[in-house]
Amino acid sequence: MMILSRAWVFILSLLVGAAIYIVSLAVGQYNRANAKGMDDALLGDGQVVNWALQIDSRRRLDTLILVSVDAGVTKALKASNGKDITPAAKEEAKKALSSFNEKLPVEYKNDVLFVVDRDGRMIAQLGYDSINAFPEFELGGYPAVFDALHGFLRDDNWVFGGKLARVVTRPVEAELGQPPLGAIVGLRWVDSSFAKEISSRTRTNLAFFVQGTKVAQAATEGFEDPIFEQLTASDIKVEAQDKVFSEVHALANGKSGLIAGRMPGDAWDLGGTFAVVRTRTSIAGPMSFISGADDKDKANVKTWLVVLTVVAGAGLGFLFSYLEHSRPLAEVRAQAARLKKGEIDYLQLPRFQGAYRMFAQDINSGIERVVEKGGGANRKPADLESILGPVPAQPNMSAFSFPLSGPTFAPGMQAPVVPPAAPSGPKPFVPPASAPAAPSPLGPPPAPSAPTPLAAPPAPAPPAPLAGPPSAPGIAPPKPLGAPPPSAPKSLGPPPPFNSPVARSGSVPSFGQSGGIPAFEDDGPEDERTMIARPSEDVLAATSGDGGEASDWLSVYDDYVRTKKQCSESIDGLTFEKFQVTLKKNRDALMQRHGVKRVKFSVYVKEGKASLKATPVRE
Amino acid sequence: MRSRKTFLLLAASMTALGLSGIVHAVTPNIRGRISGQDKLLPEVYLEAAKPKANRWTWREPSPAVEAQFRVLSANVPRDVCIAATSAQTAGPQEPVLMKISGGRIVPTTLAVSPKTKLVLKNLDPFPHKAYIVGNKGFTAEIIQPNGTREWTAPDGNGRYEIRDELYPSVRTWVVVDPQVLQVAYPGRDGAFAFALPSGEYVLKAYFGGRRVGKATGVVAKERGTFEIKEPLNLAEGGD
Repeated sequence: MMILSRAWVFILSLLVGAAIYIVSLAVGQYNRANAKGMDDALLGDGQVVNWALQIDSRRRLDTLILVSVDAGVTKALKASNGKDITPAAKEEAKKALSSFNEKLPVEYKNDVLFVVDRDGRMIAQLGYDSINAFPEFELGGYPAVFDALHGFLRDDNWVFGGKLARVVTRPVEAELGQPPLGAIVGLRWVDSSFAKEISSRTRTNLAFFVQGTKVAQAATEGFEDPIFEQLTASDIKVEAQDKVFSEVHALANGKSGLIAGRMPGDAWDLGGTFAVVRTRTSIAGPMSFISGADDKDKANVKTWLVVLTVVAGAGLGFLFSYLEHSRPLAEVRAQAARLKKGEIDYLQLPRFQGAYRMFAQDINSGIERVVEKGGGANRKPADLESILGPVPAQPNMSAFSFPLSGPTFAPGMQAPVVPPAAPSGPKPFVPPASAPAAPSPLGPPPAPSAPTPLAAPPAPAPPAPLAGPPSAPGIAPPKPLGAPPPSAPKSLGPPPPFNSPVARSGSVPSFGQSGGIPAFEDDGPEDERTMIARPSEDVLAATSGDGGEASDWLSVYDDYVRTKKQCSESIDGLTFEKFQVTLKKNRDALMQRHGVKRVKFSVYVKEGKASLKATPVRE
Repeated sequence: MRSRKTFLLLAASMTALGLSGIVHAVTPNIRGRISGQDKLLPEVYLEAAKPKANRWTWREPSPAVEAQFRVLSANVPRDVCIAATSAQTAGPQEPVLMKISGGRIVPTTLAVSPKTKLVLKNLDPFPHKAYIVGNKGFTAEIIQPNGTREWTAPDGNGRYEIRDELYPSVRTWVVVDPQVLQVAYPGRDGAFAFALPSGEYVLKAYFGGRRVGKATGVVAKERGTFEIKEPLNLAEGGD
């Protein structure tokens, strides 16, 4: 009942559950993929910043060649090496430094420039006036300066007075074949300006630290700078001493990731690091896909597909509920209205399907029961006529009924007729007045007092004489079928024609009439009854050219005898020879009528009595 | 009050330094030279030159400097110390001034007798934080610009390394030897001189806190100068 509708609801539930499951999986996959993507991007960012710093050092280093060959610097160094440093030498060197620095592009200008002699003493400086109060200030002990004084170009990162400085050094060479006169040292403070330059070049958000203290930061547009303030010492710590970068890790807020990198040089041991931060985009849950979507995301949604899905889903649901609920209910409503108006007496079952038909059947049964309780006619099971349709008067299957008492015709069965000896057409049958009319299987039962009279058939050729005279002339009142007169010899013989006095008198011999046997009905004493014997094989062979059919009939005969015994019916006078003659006649009549080659007989109990049923078999 | 006390201390220290053997204020009676100093390579710079030390990104020889000069040899006036030792135990020397500046402490190697006072003076415009490695009596403390910090050499023999927490290139060694009477620092040309009381002495060279070269015996006279004929070859012998 309502299978489609319920299945559709189940399918929709499955789809909704699957959708939730898939979206939940999608959230996890998105977050995982996004986290991995951010980690990869951070690794790239860290490397890019590292490369940017290297390139910056290289270019600064290369620019120093201009001042390292400056005549003023050379002259000042020559005048100072091994001697006291004169103010003139200082002035000349400083002038050279100033001139050099002014020529540099803005991004490569040095914040501080030094000229040092071969022992590392400072000859002149630019941009670091605070050392004027320290006349013995020198630089020769720094490895970068030491290298430069020994003929090497080098870069370095210093923590100089607590400030992070990018350092480049270059020797000053005046003559070939001589050791360097001194060196040029250039410093660029790592401050906000420098951080912005690197951030701009690398498009990253980065900050520089010295021993855990932030010294500079810069971020791309739209990045939340306060994130830098939340960084802890552990965030920017690079655990491995021999590695440049830390592991990529998420910050405490969970919304950002970070990678830290060491700065080479003296700063390596002094906690000189840079940190690159990226904002991590994650989805908190399935609904976040909606809240986090922007107009572009929404514009990319295939709205037509969503609408089509909704319409199709709802349409199928409505269709199934209409087919399985609304329409049959409307039919019930309509038939109930017709029933109420009296237009119909029963619900019309063919118009119902499935469970509704069962309901209608139950309602119809209820109606019948109510009618019965009110004194109405009782509807009986369909008889052979109702199953096979109108059949000719002869042969008639009712001939197989052998009522020993009561009405001649079994309820629901036509009166047994005797087939004519000559094919003179079917003989109409006039049922006795007392015989109940067989009810129609469908529709209201007919009035019991209105049986359909059969027209009297024309007189057939006189059949073989019956074993006994009819007990009474006429056909009313009918006598039980097969009830021969007590004096009738028990011999097989053709039954009298239907319109014979016997038939008309109601003593219609049923079984064995066509075989010339008297009626079986026997009211005599028990010891005078004919015993039923097993037919011999020669009889079987003689009576039927078809051994298979005879064998079937023997089986039917056995069933018939057994059933009659079970129904406490008398089987006196019943022999297989009589039985098969009757079957043969009925078979021939049915074959002729229905154009079939075979008729199958079976035994059943009808109203407490054994009856035979003939079924044409089309093969 | 405190500044006056510091001033008096500095004045006394400078006077003592002037009288010490570091400053050649008197006529020397022993002269000599060193050789093989180009083989003395300061350890701290050698380490910094290694790629795995992560001390630089770019380090390459200048095409304008010949290869013979591209050797990270010691700065002799600052890195090599010649000590005159006697057979007898010497008393504490005059206070020794050690200058902190330029990423190092000058001199980088010093030989003193026990109880000799060392005065570390910060000549940089920013603080330093010197300490003696493994010495609980001289842990890292801030030395402000132009500030000083003193340390007295302990008894017995020993070698002490002074470092700076804020400047990793600072590495200075103090060799304590009871027989050290006087020290001298060669010039760039390798020449050195002593003004010693008359007597026999043994000259020992120190570099990077270790003995280098062979010990050489000298005899100091009140008049006349003892010239060491063969230069002290610092590339041979030693610890």
